[in-house]
Amino acid sequence: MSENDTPVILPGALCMGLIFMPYFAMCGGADALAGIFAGTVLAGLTALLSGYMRIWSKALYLPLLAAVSAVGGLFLRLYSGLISRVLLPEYPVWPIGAALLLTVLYGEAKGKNAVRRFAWLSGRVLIAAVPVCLIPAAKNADIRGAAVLPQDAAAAADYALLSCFLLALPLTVNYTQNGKTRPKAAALSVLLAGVLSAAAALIWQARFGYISQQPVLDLMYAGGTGSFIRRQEGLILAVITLSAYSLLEGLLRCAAFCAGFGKAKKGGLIFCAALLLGTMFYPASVACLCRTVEISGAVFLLGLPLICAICEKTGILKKEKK
Amino acid sequence: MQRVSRKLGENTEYFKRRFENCGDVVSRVFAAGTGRKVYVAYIDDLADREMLERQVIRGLMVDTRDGDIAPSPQRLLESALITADVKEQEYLENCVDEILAGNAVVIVDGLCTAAVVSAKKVPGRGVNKPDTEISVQGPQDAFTESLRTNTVLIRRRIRSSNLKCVQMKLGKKTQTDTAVMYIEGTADENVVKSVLARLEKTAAEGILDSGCVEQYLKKGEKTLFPLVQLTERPDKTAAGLIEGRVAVVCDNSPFVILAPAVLFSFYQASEDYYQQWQTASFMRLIRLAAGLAAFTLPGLYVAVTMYDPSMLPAELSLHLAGARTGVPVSAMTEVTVLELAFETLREAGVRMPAAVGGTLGVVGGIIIGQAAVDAGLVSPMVVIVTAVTGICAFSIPSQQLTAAYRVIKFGVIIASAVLGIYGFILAVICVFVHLTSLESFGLPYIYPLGKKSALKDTFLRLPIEKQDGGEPVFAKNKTGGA
Repeated sequence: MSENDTPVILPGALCMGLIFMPYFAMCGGADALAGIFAGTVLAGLTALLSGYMRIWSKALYLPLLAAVSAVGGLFLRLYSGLISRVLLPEYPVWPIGAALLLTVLYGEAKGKNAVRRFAWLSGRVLIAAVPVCLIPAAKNADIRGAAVLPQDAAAAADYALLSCFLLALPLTVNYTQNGKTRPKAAALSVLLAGVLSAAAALIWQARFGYISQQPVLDLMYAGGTGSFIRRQEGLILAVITLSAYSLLEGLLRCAAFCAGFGKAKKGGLIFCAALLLGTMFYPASVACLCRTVEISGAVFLLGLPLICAICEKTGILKKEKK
Repeated sequence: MQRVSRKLGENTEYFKRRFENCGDVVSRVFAAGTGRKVYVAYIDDLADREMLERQVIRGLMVDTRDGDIAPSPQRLLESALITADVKEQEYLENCVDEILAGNAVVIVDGLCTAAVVSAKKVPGRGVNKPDTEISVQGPQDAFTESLRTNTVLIRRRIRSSNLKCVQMKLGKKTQTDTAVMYIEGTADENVVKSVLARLEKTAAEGILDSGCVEQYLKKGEKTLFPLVQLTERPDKTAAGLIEGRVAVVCDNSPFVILAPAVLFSFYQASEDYYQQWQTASFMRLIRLAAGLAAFTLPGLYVAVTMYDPSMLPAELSLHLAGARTGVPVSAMTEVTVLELAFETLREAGVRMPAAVGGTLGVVGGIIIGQAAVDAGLVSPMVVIVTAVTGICAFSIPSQQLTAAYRVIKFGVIIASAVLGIYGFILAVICVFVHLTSLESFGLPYIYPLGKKSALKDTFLRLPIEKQDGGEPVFAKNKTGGA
C-alpha cells in the first residue's frame, strides 16, 4: 500500500468494521444478516470513495491522527481485555497491550519489505485458519436461530472485535496484491470482510442463539479440532493475535504518517505507539470509547470527504499542494 | 617488487634471506648438463620430489651442447622441462608465493625470468562418504580438503564450458586458494559480482575454513539464520549451480558454500530428488513440521503447563499434573535445565571419539534421564518433550539451520514462561517477522513463497517432469511475491 493511500483507506475500513457493521447488525433486529450485508455494501462503497481521496492539507492530519488513535486504542483495549479474560486472568491489561505493541514496533523496525512480506504470509495463514475456526463451531448449529443479534453494548463490542479480526484478513492480503488499484482493493477487502463477518454471525447465531453475547469466546469454546486439543481458544487466539498484529501495524504506520504530517518517521512510530497505549488507558467504559470512535469515525468518514470536497471546489487544496 | 636478476647469485641470496630458518625448504644450485648454473627451490613433500627429479632435474642434467656451442638459457629451459604445466614469473615475491603454494621454482643463470613448475603434492585424504549429509540413495562421495579435487568433483557433474571457475587467494597470511564457480548465463550476474566483491574485500589475516568465508559473505547481518548454505555433497552443489546459485570452494575445507540461500533450501535433502515424488513430498512435510517443532515444542509445553493445562483433554491434563507431582521446580526451569543438559550432551557427543560417542548418548539419554525422573528432579513428560525436540532438530538436513533453532527455542521458552500461550504466540510472530526481514544476496529469505512456482519444490517436491523447463529457480535477482 502506498503511503499516500494509507491514512485514508485503512482507518476508513476499520471504522466500518468497528462501528457500522455491529450497528447495522443491532439495528437489523430480526433481519440482522440483511443488516450486515447492507452495512457491508455501504462500507465497501465508502472504502472505494475514500480510496480516491488524497490529503494535501496538513491541517487535516491532526483530526485524522485523533481518529486513528481512538480506533487503535479501542481495538487494543478490546483485544487486551479478551486475552486477559481467556488466557491471562491474573495479568493486568497493560502488559498484554504493551507486548503486542512492542512486537509491532519490532516488525516496523525490520523495514517496509519485512512488513510487506509478513503481511502476505499472515494473510495466507489467516485464510487457512478461518475454516478451522468456523467449521467446528458450525457443528450442531440450528439455522433457525440465526435471525436476531443481541442489542447489547458488550455484545456489540465483541462483535466489533470479531469484525476487525475478519477485516484484517482480506486487508492484509489485498493490499499486498500487485496490479490492483488501491481503492478497488480496499473496497473488495471490506466486501469480503462483510461476507465473512456475515458467515461468522450466521454460525454464531445458529449455534448459540441470542442468549450468547460473546461471539469470539463462544466460537472458541465450540468443540475441539481433534482429540488432542479440548478447547480451541489457543488456536483461535493465535489467529486473532496474528490479525491484531496486522491491524495494529497498519494503524501504527498510519498514525505515524499523520503525526509526521505526511512523512513516516521512526520517532513518530514510538510516539504513536505511546499514544495508542495511552488511548487504551483512557478512563472510560468500552461503551463510551465506542461512542468516541463513532464520533471520530463519523467525522472522518463523513466530515473529511465533505471538507475535501469543499476545499477542492474552492481551490484551497490546490494552493496548498503547490 | 624485486625482479628476477640475470645474476643467479642475487636471486639465490634473496631466497636465502626469505627462507631463513625454514628447514622444510629445499634449495640447491647445481651445474646443468651444459655447465650453466641452475637454481631449484621447493618445499619438501609439499611439492612432488619424484616428479621434479624425473621431469625437471633429469632434463636439466642432459648435455644438450652442439659441439662446443652451448644453448641459450631460454633454450636450455625449454628443452629440459618435460612438463606442460610451466609458467614464467618475473618477480621474486611471486616466486616465493609459488614455492609456498607447493610449486617448484627453477632459475637459470643469465635468464631474467623464473620458471614455475606445477608440482603440488598436497597431503590429504581421498574422496570419502559424507559425514554430515548422509543419504541412503544417491551418490556417496563428498568433498575433501583439496580445492582441486572439489572443483573436479563438480566439473565431473557439469560438463559445460559455461561452468566458470574464478580463482583468488584469501587471507593475508594464509593465502588460501578459493574458487568461485557459477554457470554463465544461468546464475544471476549481480549475485556473482556481489560474491566476488565481498570476497575481494575480505581483510582477514587467515582463512582456515569455508566457515570463515561464510561469515564474510554474511556482510554483518545480525541473524542466527544462515544466509549462505554449506554442503559437503558435490551432487547438491551441482544441483545448486544448475539452479543458478554460486558456489565458493575454499582450499582446506570439505564444505562448499552455496549462495544465495533461502529458508526452504535448508529443508531440501539430496535424497528428495532420487526417490518417488510422493515419498519425497511426504518427507519434506515431515521435515518442515519437525523444523517448527524444533523451536516451539518446549515453549508450548511451558505455556500449557504453567498457564493453560485445561486446554488439553482432561485425562492428559490430569496425567501431566500427576507426573509433575513432587517436582520441586517450575516447568520453565525444568524444561530449560533439561534442554541445556541435552545441548551439553550433544556438544560432548560431537567432541568425543566416535567409539565413545555412542556410549555417551546411551549414558546421557537413558541412564541420566531415567535417574533424574526417578529422583523426582524432572517429570517424565519433560524428558519426552526434550527428546522429541532433539529428534525434530536432527531431522532437518542442515546443521546450520538446526543451530539457529537450538538458540531460538530458549527465547520462545522465556516468552512462554512470562506470558503463557500469548507470549508463545508473540515469540513465534517475532521469529517469522525476523525471517521475512532477511535477504540473501537480495533474495527474500522466504522465497519462493508468493510465486507460482512456489509449490514445485518447497512444501512439496512435485514430479521431476513438472520441475523441468522454465527458468532456473535462482536465475535472476527476484524480489519475490512475498
